[in-house]
Amino acid sequence: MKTIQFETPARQENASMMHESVNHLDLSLGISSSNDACNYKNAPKTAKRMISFQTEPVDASPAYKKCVSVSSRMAFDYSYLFSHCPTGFVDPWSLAARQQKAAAEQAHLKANPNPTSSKIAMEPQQAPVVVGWPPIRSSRKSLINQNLTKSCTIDGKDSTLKSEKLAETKDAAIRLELRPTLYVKVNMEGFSVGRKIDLSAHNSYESLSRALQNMFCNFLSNKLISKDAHANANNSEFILLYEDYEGDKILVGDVPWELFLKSVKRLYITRHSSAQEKAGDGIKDSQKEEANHLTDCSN
Amino acid sequence: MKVQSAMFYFPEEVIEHIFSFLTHHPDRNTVSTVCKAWYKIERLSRREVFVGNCYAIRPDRAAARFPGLRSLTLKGKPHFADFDLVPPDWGGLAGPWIEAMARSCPNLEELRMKRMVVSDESLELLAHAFPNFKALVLVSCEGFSTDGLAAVARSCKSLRELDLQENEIEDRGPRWLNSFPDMCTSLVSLNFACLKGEVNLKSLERLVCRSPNLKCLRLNRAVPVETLAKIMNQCPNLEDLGTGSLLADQFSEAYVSLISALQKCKKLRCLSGFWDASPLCLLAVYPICANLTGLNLSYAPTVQGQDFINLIQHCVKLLRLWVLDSVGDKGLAVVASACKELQELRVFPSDLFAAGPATVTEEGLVAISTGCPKLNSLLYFCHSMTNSALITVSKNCPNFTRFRLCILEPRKPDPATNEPLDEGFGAVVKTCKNLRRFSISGLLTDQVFYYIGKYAKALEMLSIAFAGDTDQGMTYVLNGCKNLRKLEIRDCPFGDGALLADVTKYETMRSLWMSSCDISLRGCKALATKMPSLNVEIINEWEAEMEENLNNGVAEVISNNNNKHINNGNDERKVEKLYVYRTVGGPRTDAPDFVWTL
Repeated sequence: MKTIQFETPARQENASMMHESVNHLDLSLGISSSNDACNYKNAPKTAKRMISFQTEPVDASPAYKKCVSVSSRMAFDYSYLFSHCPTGFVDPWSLAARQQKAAAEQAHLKANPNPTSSKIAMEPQQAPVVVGWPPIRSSRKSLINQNLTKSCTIDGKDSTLKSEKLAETKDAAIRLELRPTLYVKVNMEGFSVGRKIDLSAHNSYESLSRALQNMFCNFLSNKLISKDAHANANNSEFILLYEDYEGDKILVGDVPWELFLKSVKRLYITRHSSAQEKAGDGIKDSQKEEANHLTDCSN
Repeated sequence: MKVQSAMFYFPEEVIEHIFSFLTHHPDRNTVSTVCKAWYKIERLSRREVFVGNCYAIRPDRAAARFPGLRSLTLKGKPHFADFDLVPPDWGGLAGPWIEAMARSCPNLEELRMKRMVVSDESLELLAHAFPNFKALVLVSCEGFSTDGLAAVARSCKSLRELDLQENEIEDRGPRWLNSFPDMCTSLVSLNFACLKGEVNLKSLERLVCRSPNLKCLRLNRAVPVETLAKIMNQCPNLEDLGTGSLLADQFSEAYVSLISALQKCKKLRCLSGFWDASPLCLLAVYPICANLTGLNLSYAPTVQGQDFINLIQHCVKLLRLWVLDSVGDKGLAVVASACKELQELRVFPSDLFAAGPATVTEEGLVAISTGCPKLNSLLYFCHSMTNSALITVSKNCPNFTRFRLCILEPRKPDPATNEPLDEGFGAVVKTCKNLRRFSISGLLTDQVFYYIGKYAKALEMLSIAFAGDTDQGMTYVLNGCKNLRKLEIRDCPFGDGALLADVTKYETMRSLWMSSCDISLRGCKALATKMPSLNVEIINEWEAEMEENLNNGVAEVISNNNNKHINNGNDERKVEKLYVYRTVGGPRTDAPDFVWTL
């Protein structure tokens, strides 16, 4: 959960930032009615803390309205949701300006939210300050919280997906989340001590390969293994295999990620040099291809 | 003369026989007040007693009055306890009731309790004290564990019904299912959907095998599809099923087995559960949809969009539907076109803050009202509502008996006109003459209460939150709603003036709850003084304040512990929570520290 902290920047900074970012004010606040509201490229990087906003236009977003209703006439506080804006940085000092403008916006509320805007992933919200509201039982409330946690696993950058596809990936994420943790042993060739990795914490081969590389870079002191994934892919003499429920060793990366999760029982990292020696040089190309599997495979 | 003497010798058995046709509690209560003879006949022949507030009468007295009691229904905590507005340990103890019944009413067969605190010891006592015990229904209760359930299972030889709805049950292991007798059981209904822990699946299967009369079975989330399939094969006569977790692989044997098992269940009328339901598992349900009268998808956030539409369009005989708002207006439109017989609809929120495109709006409600004119019971959570929508809905469905609308954002006006929702809710009470239960929300002024007082003559229960402008609002309701039994108010600007406007009214009601309103201790004390037949209880966190004052030397320390906080002179303090109810049992003896009876 992101905590939002406000730091008052120095006074001098204030003036210059104000000047610089008066153009960005509207854009970075997402207040302008254009759909391109999330154009944060020019936002000052000097801001110490970022407040990220939904990328939807403000008049389509009740959550946004709630964001700025802190100073509104309502007698209670609603904690507001902030979703992760991919590139967003907003100056803390602009809170006041934002509130003012949004208060004016509130007077011109539109009837319905924009139906074509896709549902952006939300960060898990903090508990509402109003006790016992809305009036639903705790068993249902915990279901809602579970649901929201699942939807947060979806990368905020996927906001461009159509809503159906989002629902699909959400379903997939839900299924993954519901599965108990999937720890499998990982053994590197030549080492008697292995590691364990939770496969359910990853959603793609890319992520898995990164994690494995991080895990095993300490195993070898030679320069072949480094944290640089790109270098690794080209120079690697290691291949990743998995053992399925039937006991067969199979190269990782052929099947879709979900199917892989269903059948994987163990992981092996072996040196490819042995295969290389047996097959001869002709295999070099295919070897490079296979090594690239780890980084190429995704989705 | 002749007529008079004939009346004196009117045989009691005949009167008793006549009374046996009176099943409605208020009717029986009325006949008991006619004369002493009738009082005696009625109380000895009474088989069912409903106590809407467990503190309205002392358990001993109830048990002594009705020795032939077979069925007892009890309700404990106020309704707002469901939403954490009542501190824990407030009360509602079932123990004294069960003990009193054990002493005086050994023929007890059924016990139904709602919002009460039941201990394992009480369940043990229950299991042993009543040889004919048949049915235990616990709704929103707490304080017991699976050990208590084991005791009931083990010792109630003719148990027919064990129904646990939405309780907080401490999980002490899955062994309780083994406690049912090894021989054939008489179980007709078993519902443990609210149990959070694991269940011994083999025990469950064996239990189902030896319960040939089972008609209703609701499993909890821990029961997987494989077990469900086996169970369904065992009881094709099931009428009410609550599935366990429906997470299954399309090609698994369990899934295939489930499909074939469900197809054999010709009598299945009611479905619930659907935890983790994958769209594929829903396919298994399609064949039986056509006969379903009840469907509860409110714990299945995975059932939405096209999956929901595909499912619901087959359910043409549906009477009761509970869903999450993730089905959207689109889903509700399909419900409206497919489920023409629909009588009850509940739409629960799946997301408390963001109104994404998938959640429901007033359009969904209007669509339902257009397509389902028989609708009489509604619980609808949404993010916004308009007056015109409400007016349309009330025109389309004049038969509402229960209408509960919760707009998630408090004090939210009609987004189209920026006006309060007085006219919309007013339209509902004007057209729905049989409205018994009403919950309102959104931006509301005193005007809506004027309408309620004027038109809602049949209203029995009213729930208000974040509404109203002045005391006049509450006064309208108290003066106008002649049949009002329960009034619960939170976060409204009603003060002492409203509270004391018509104090005798509270004697005609079961209870009044006011929290976070504008009432003061002075007002509550005045009420308590004027109406000794009421228990006026306040719940306040004054201790902390009291300690502070003592340290500052502000307040006197009065030796009487109870009065220490009440009588320190500052009557202007606001009362946080007030609970007023009529009672013949006097002040509570089990009130905790934070509850003061004035």
